Formats: sequence, structure tokens, C-alpha cells
Amino acid sequence: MDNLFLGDKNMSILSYSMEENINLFKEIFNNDPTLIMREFKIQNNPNYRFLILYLDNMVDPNTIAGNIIKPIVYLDQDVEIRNIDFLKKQVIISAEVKSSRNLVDITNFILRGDTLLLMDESSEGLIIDTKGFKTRGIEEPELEKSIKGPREGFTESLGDNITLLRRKLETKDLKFQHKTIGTSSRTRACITYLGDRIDKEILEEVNRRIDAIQIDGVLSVKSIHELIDDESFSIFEMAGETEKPDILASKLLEGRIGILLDRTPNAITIPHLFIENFQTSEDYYTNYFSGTIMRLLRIFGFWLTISFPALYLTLVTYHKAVIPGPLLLSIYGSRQGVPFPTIVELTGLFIVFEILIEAGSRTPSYIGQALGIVGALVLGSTAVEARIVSSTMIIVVGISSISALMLPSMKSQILMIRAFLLFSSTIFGIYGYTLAMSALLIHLFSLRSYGVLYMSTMNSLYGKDLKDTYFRGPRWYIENKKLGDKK
Amino acid sequence: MKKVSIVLILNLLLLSGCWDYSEVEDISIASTMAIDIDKDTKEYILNVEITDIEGTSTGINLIPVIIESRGKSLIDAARNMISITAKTPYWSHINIIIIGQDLAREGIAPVLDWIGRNPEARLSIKVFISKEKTAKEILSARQKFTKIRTFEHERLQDSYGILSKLPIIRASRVINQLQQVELFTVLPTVELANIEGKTTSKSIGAAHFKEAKLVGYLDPLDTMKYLFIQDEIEGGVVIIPGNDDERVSLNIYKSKTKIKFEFKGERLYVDLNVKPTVDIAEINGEFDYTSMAGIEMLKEKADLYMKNELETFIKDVQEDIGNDIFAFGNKLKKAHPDIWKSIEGDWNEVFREVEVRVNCDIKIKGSRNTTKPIKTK
Repeated sequence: MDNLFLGDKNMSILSYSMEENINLFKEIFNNDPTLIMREFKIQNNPNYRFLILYLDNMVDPNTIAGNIIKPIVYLDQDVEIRNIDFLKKQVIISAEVKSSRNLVDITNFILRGDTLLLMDESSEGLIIDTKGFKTRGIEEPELEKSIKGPREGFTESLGDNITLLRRKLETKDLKFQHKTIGTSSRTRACITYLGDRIDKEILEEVNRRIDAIQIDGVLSVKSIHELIDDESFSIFEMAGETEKPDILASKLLEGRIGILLDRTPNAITIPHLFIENFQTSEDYYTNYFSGTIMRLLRIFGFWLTISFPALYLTLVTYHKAVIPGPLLLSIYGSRQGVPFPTIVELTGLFIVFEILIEAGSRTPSYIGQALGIVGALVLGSTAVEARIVSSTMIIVVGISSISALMLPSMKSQILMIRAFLLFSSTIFGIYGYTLAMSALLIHLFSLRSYGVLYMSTMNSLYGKDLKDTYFRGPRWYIENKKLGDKK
Repeated sequence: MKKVSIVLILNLLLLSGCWDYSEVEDISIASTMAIDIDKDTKEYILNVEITDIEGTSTGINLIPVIIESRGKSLIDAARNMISITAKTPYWSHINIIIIGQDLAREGIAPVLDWIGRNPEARLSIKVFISKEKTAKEILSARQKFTKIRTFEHERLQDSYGILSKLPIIRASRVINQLQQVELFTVLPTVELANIEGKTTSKSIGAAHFKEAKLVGYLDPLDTMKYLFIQDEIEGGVVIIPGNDDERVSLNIYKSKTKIKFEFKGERLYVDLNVKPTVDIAEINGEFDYTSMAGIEMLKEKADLYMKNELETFIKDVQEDIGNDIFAFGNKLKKAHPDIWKSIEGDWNEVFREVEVRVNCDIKIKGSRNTTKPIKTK
């Protein structure tokens, strides 16, 4: 099971001698000064020797002192301890105490922040829950800010996250399955779903894929769903990510499977449909008319951000006849004296814009402000005044880039699609645009997320199928909606 | 195999891509074109208004520049223009073509042939005939409100419907008409006008053609009557003489003209049913035409007035012009191809003898914001 103990069977269980055990652990945790071993005895009875073992900073020292050491030290002096079970049942004050002699288990628990209690001449140790490390408090996630509705977000602690989720869904049908992933990181993952509405096939498939994972370390959910997703060669994500318990809860209510991962505040939801990129929790927290309008606006924004530069380019360089006269003259005027061809101007500006965004997202907020001024005002307006770029181009790039900010979950996909459309439009004009767009749609409609069509019901002509896709139907209408067809 | 297909796909991109790519600033955008002919050398004189741009501190200024070039053919003249502009003129944004009188008398067919063949030029170009000696005069005249002529005319197209004293005809229609036998094209005219001491252009009236050659002009009122007969009225005002020397102006909302042919005893009768819907737009007088009796009287007068006006106009055309500018022949051909076949050969004689019976049925909808006329006593 664990590399550390492979090949040395003698080491896999505790020994009766305390000295030997001490040496065992010293060997396991060699070069690790955070391992604390403390020996103690009952106050007036030196016959029994005890040893506690824990990792510094992973435990709550007060719990160890008050609930383990103190009750034992103050034991009656003529008490007779026949085995360690007596301590487990009658002395130690802790909600969770296990006895074990398996070294692998014990080591894992110590690594997780538990404390091992050993008694002389006993080959069993007690593992006592003393976890006490610092975790971040519950905060609102930066990426999924909402004006209405709950603000709390997941933290890095799996336990807290499960609690947050449970508080959204107080039902016995909410199930959790624990898995451990990563040979070195030993990260706990938790598959969660509502048992009464889950598609058993998908659940089995997810279980099977997670069990098959062979990876050294897991530090983010991305490494998991990259390993278990279908369509590894697509630019689109086949699993959704969220940092908000209310969003995860709503996905579970729709019959999806969630995967929570210890040490990251992100949860995965599967299957994931294309339309989910356009849905926000706020759609459901506001009136359904405004929800629908905002969703249509986001879909339009997606089209705009991927197509606008390509369409502008093909109209201006290939199909000038289509542009209304006054507009053509205005573009004509702004292009005067610009030394670069339109395509160079366009790609150059996009690269600069992306650099600004990337630089802005990695800088502290006080520099970020200055960056905005330098980027937008100084670079933008001076470039236009110096006739290095045309003013219409700034508008095109501006509209396209700002529309992209509406869909943060598809940031990189938008970038790639935009470049693809731009490339084919440059070479073939409007035909290139049409062909590239068709290729994109064919690709999208051929994708599957865990057996469910990625574009499920998006091409349907029946209002019933579209009640929560392009439109956010009223609650009484979208209740009991189906996840999507698996055909 | 894979390598071969990659090479083939690359060739597809490299060989077929980009052939039409050109930057905006490498073209000169033409907006209006005036075509004349030099009677002595038989050379075409092409005047094109090209928009130049001047950058200012607050934005850009559009400056129209008129460039003249000559050539044995129109395409020759157009190509010769490159020697002046250095950039290729771009024809797609041309909205109006003005044809000079001299050229119109010689024949407009070559102009339309060139436009029809030019892949850049649109077939929705409006064709105007200059009433002045040359078309260049019109082009050089200053515009009243906009610098670029095309912009003004783009806007005027909608307004011409309200004026209804000018036929608006697209190049595609002219090309179509010229190819049909016994069809006499009618095109709008444009002339110079003097406003506050400055010369500008004025579009009103029409010119009629025989076999693509200019024959004569129709004055604005006759043009309106022509539009009535053609069922192309979109608006306009009809002034009806009322009691004594009072006048009532009727504003036309819409109008429908139906044409019927009757062949009785070797004679062709044309029945025109004109049904305009109007309201009372102005009363020059004090009689209350808005009362029940007044409206009835007004309708009677208006029906009769319009019937007489239209019948007189048609008679005048039959006698003076003698060409079927109303395209009765074409309509007869569609409605009664058998009759048309028997008289096709001498249609011109038949047209002069046709008896046209106009029947007018005006519908007066209302009297706009007020009812009774203002009484000064």
C-alpha cells in the first residue's frame, strides 16, 4: 500500500517493547524534528510507562495535555491496567479513539494530526483524534462573488466543506464516499450525491475512474478531473468547478455528482454541460425575467467575444461592400497612417490586453490600480494618438475582451476559439469564419461528459427542453428538470 | 499518406487563402459618379466624388474630392482614374449615378452595361439624369447639409416617397426595362438650384426615354400623375379646387391603382381604378369641408378632378410624346398574351388610339388635428 513499508514486513506491526517502538518511529520519521515523543507515568505508580507521539503544530496541545496526559497521570495509584483497552474505554477523554497495531495505519494517522498513545508491553497503540491545525475561515470566494444569495465559500478543510454542504441539504439521502488519492499527498476526496436521484451508472463510472487513478500528489481538483474526464483532447472542461456550497447543493439537487477534495476550496461537479458556463447562482436568486435576460446576455456576450474581432477583420479586409458607407469612412479615417496590417494590429492588441490582465491578476491590489492607469490610459490613448493602432481597433478589442470577462469559467477557451476564428477569417474571409464556426459547433455537439451529451438539449426545438438552458424558466416550471439525455 | 495529406491541406490554405485581402486605407471610397460624353471625341468623361479624410484634434473631417478622367470606354475611364488617385477606386459604396444630358440623348445603355458587369458596383444604384448640360455641374454643386452627396441622398430616398414628384429607380430595374421591347424607361432628373446665392442641386421631375435614348422631360406635376398611373405613389399632396377659388390640400397615405384591359370591336380600352386614401391636410378657404355634407362634396370634386387630370395627361402623352411610357403594353402582355401577340407589331399606333377610362375613388379618412377651418370673421 505504501512505498515506505514495502519490502520490510517486520516493520508493519508494533512490537511489545517500548524501546523498539521508539526506534521504529525514529526510523520512520527520521530527519523530521516535528515529531514529538513524550514519556510519562502515573503520578504515584511508576510501574506503567506511557508514550505519546505526535507531530508538532498538527495537534492541539491543550487536548493532549488535558484529555490524555492528565487523566492518565492522575490515575489511582493502585489501578491495575491489564491492557490498553482499559485506557480507551475508561480514561481517555476524546470523541474518537481507535486502537491499532498496523504501523502503516498509525503512521498515516499521525501524519494527519492524530496522537499515538503507547503503553509498555502492549503491542497495540491508541490513536486519539487531536487534530488542531490552523485553517482559513469561511469567506466569500473571489471568483464567484454574488450580490444576492449566500456568500459563504468552501475552505481548505474537507470536514468544514462537508459541514457547509450538509447545512444546505438536511436529508439522509445526502451521501458521502471517501477515497484517498495520491501516493505521497494522500489527499482525501469525497464523492457526494443525493442517493435518491443519482444515475447509478454515472456514479459507478466515477467510482471506477477514481479508483483507477495512479498519481503521486494531488493539490488541486484540476489534477483529478483531468485524470478522470472524457474528451482529454478537447479545450472544453468536462467537469464544473465551484467554490460555493449553494452552487454545489443546487447541482446535487439536479442529480449531479460532486467531488470535494481536502486541502482545496474547489469542488467538482459532474456531468458538466456547456450551458452551465452561462448559468450563475444569481439567475435563480432573482426574478426569472431578469435571470433570462442576463443569461441571454451572457450567451450573446460569448458569441460577441469570440466572433467580433474575426467579423470585423473579414468585413474590413474582404467585404467592405457590406459595411454602411458612413461607418466605412470612419474606419477609413481611423486607419489613416497606421503602419500595420489589420491582422497584426488586432493580434498585437489582444496580446497586450491579455498581458495586462495576466499581470493584473498576479499583482497586489495597490499596484493593480497603477497597472490599470498605465495599461488603459497611457498605453491605449497614446497608441491611438501616435497612430500605432487605430481607434476603431481599440473599440473592437475592448468590446471583445470585456465581454469575455462575463464568463470567467471559460477564459482560456474563449481565447483559443477567438484566435482560431481570427486565423481562419484572415485566410478565407467570411467563408473562413463560417467554416471555423461550423467546426466549433460540430466539435461541441460531439462532446460527452460522463456519457451525457455536452450540448444536451441545446439543439432542441421544444420549449420544455429549453426551460433552463437559454432561458431561466420560473421555479414552478423548471422543478424536476432532467439532467440531460444520454443518447 | 499522412504527410501527403498535410502538404495538400497546407497548399489549400496557402494557395487559395487571402486572394481578396486588402486594407481599408488602400482603396479610395467613391460615393457619387457623374458620367458625360465628349461629343467631338466620343470619349466618356467620368467624374467621381472620392472621400478624403483630414484628421483634426477632435476627430476626422470628411472632404469630398472630385476627380475627372476620360476614356474610350467607361472601364477605361475608370482605370485611368488610378493614375490620379494612386489607389483603386472602390465602387461598392456608390449610391447615385448622374448621367449628363448629352450622354442620355446618345444612349444610356453602355453605362448600365458597365454597372451590371462590375462586380463591385451595386445594382441598387439610383440613376439620375442631369437636366443641365453636363452631369459634372451637378456633382460640383455644393451640398446643402452634408459634405458627402451619398449621405444626403441615402436619407432622401425615404423622403422622396413623401414628395412623390420623383420616381426612384434602381439600376437593376433600368437594365431590366431596357431589355424589354416597347418599354420606355422613365428616370428621375436632377437640376441646379440657387439657394442664398450658392448653387446646389435639386432632384425633382423625370425624363423619359425611347430605346435608351432621352426623348423629353416630365414636369413635377406630370411626374406625380405618372406615378399614380404606375401605382408607385407612396405619399404626396393633391390640391383640389373647392368652392369659388378655395383650395383643399389632401395628403395621401397610400394609393392603389388597378389596371384592366378590354378589347371591344377592334378597339382597346384601358380601365384605371385609382384608390387613394387621404386626409385633409390644409384648407385655403372658410367653407367647412369637414362636415358630413362637406366631405361628400369634397370627395365628389376630388374624384372628378383627379379623373380629368389623369385622363388629360394620358391624352397629352398619347398625342405629344406618342411613346408608351406607362408600360401599358407590358401589362397587357402579362394579362392577355394572346391579344398582345396579335397587336404586338404595331403597338405604337395602337397605344396612340387606346381609350383610357380613369375611375377615381378617394377615401377621405379625416382632417388631422382640427376639424373646422379657421374663420376670421
